[in-house]
Amino acid sequence: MHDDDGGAERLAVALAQAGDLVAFETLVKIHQTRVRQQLRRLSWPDAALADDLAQETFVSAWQQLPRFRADAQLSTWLHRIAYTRYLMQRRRRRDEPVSPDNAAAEAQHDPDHAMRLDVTRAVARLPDHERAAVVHCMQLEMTHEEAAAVLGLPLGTLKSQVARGKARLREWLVAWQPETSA
Amino acid sequence: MSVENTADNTANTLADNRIDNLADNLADNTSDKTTDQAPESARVASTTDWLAALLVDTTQPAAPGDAADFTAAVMHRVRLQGPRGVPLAADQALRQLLQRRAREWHQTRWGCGGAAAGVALALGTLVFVRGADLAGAAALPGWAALPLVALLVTAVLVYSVVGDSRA
Repeated sequence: MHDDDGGAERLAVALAQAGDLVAFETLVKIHQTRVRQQLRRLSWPDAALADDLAQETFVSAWQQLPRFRADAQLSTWLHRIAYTRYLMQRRRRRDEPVSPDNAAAEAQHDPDHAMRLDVTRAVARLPDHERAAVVHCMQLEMTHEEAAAVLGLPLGTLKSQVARGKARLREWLVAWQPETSA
Repeated sequence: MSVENTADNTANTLADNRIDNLADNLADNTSDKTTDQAPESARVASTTDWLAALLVDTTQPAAPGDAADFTAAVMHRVRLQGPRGVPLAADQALRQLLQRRAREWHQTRWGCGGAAAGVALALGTLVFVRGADLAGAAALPGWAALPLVALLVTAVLVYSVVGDSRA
């Protein structure tokens, strides 16, 4: 089953490389959820910005698809483009204030949601490289090898950044109590 | 349909495994492992709550049709991208048409230029011969230049006609 899916995806990639729009649309349907999750995690709380970046990611992928090597993993390649787009956007908008999220009011009535919100905020507070490492390795559940390929980092560097990010999160969140966010 | 099912199944499998895997992963203070390598015995209950919160996907599209809207928006932008959006067969046909037009223009230009050069050469020869007659000089008979002129004009016309027939 998995092999069939992989074969179907390879066929879709080959057709899309030759200019087949229907095949490319299939690839967008398959990968859009994961790419959008990646960008929404990185761009939190600005979901609209994340979706704009995701659209740019797929448009860029369409343009670059003829240069995609068939032996590479398409998902890793797409995540790499998405992360590059995110970094470019972040450099442009580094000085702009983060737009406020409207989840705080909801959190007052739902302790679980409050915890999720605090955890998400804690991740957003991490230094850039640690946040990217935590998002890709833990929230997006990539292997270290995949995440290193997406982030363009040596494997050892990525592992140390994940470890530092985890330690920081543990320090910030281990004493979390529902009352603190109410 | 099968694509959506595959995506849903993948998401469900990930959802089933993610909390356990992440708890294992965070509980391991001394070494970093890929998430599918963490041992079952390494879980730490005290961190499970916030680890679970870390894993909860708060980024799913809010509306059921959101994924379809997103795909449609991407494809709309892709269709506006130009040559990469042209199907292969149409792209080849367009390229062949442009090459033929370029070849025809090249032949027309050579044909017109050659004919004009032939006319100019013939007129020049005529003026030269007429001038020599008026001056009374008999060094070069006027008809001696005519075969050369005729040869040049014929060569240009033949090149042009042959080029048109090959196109």
